[in-house]
Amino acid sequence: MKHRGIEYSNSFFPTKSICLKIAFLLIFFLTGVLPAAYSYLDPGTGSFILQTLIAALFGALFVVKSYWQRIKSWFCRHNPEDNKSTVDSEVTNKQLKSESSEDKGAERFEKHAGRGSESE
Amino acid sequence: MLAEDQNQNKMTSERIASSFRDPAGFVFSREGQIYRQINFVGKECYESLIKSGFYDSLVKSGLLVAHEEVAVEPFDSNTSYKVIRPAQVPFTSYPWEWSFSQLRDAASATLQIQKTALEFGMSLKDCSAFNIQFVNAKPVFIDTLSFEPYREGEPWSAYRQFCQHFLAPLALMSRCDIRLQKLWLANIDGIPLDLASRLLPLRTWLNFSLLTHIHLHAGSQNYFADKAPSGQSQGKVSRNALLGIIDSLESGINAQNYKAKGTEWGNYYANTNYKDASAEHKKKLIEQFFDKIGSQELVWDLGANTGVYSHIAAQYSKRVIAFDIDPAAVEKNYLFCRDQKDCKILPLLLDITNPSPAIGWANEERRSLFSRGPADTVMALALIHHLAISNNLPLSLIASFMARICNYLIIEFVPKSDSQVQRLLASRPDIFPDYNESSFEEAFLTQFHLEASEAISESQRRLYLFKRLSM
Repeated sequence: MKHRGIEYSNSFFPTKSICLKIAFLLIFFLTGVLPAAYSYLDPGTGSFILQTLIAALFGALFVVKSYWQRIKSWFCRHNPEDNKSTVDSEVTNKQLKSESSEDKGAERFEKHAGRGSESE
Repeated sequence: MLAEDQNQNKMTSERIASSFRDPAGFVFSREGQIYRQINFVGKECYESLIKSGFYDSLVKSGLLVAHEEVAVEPFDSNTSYKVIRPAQVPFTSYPWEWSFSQLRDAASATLQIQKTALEFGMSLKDCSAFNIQFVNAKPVFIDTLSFEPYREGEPWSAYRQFCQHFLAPLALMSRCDIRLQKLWLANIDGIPLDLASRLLPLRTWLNFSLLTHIHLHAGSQNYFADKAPSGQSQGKVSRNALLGIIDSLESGINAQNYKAKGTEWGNYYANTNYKDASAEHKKKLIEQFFDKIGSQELVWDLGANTGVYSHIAAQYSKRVIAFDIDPAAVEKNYLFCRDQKDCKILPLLLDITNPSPAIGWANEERRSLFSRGPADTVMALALIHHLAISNNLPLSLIASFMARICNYLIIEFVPKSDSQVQRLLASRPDIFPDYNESSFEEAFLTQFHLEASEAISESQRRLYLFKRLSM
């Protein structure tokens, strides 16, 4: 475990904050970009600028990854479709329908209904 | 007539306290129903969401709460474009009450929504964790107005919020200590990235995603904090770059892990005074009690552990909130519930001796546990000794607390002779002369009517069914 909050002045290694400052000064002066913010939510100047600084690298990595995945899927065509849906599609629609019904009491679950048999 | 209508409207409608940030609209409640008013300012975004087919796609995949447009009186007719009625969320929960995987699933759902949004030419304009609620133990996005048309080349305005609301707390919980989740309570807009960067171990600088989105991000915020943005030279973030950033955030989220082992109650069922027969009898008694009181709308199971008895309650109720103080127990319970179809149980983290407070603007933005109740029924099984002995609470205070949060109470009394209580008393003097069955009954009968009680076979414990007196 490191000792948090304590910075040793005679440390051989430069501190994190010095490294950061050097890195950002370099990047900033090399590129010198400042975006304008439009959002109602303050995105923070630093957050915007970081995105513009990492954009090229992450964009390139993403393109390489996409091509690599295409090549991979060409070789194994039997891969099932990646279904990322995390929620049963009927959940929210069904819920809305059931709430529209006038008689809410009728939706109460049967006293002895087992788990999973409670829908509608 | 209009003035009368508006007065009537004001009397019955209430603007939801947390809904004030977005000029595009806000949420209000009327006669127990939640509505969202879409202002003229939000018209374009809302129409893009619907007409692009994005809304249908999200609702079909279950990621966004469904809604219907309704012809009801708006809350503020001067600004209103439309009013929608979203499917009602049965119980509001907050990130400081979620288990590790709940927060991670909420993060994944948010990124999935942003990726889908880009396919439809839209983008998330905020990434608040409060926009996610759990319905049937699955994360659902509830803010229909969080979308705007995507403008190619612009940086993602919600990037900072995603890192603060999701990546930073997950990294801290995964890499430092699971309890650091409670930093949320002091930081309502997510964990400040400079704080996360300072707390995370040095080895996280070797993780590309955490290095970029936490450490460098914090450094960038710090460096540019006092430098005003200029519109003269704009940096661009291409679509591919944005997809790359999202992909990297996704890798970062997926790289955070928490193994729910060594739980506080891990071997509870093995170490208690319970024999199999006692446990079975307790389950039967709970079923009998629910038979007696009929089906319930909302049950709170306090000290639910991994949810063994919550599942019995779920058979007799519409919704069960399974609270426990142990992050590992809540995590296990959630992972189990998540895999069930239409699970009625929502596991949440809660220290009942220090329940979730109301926080945020005017102390109203995020609600306390009390204001989200009362429950129809509360179950407090094997909990009383933790309150009375570990927390020195007089039985009368426990009884009046319970009467504030429920109509029916199923509570188990654990006597001093029980090994669990003996364990609590092992390292301290016994200053609880009144901790016994008769004092317990006396205290609770001042608030409740006794409906039924029965000793749990082959144990020294007793299970009670109380009904609140003022009902």
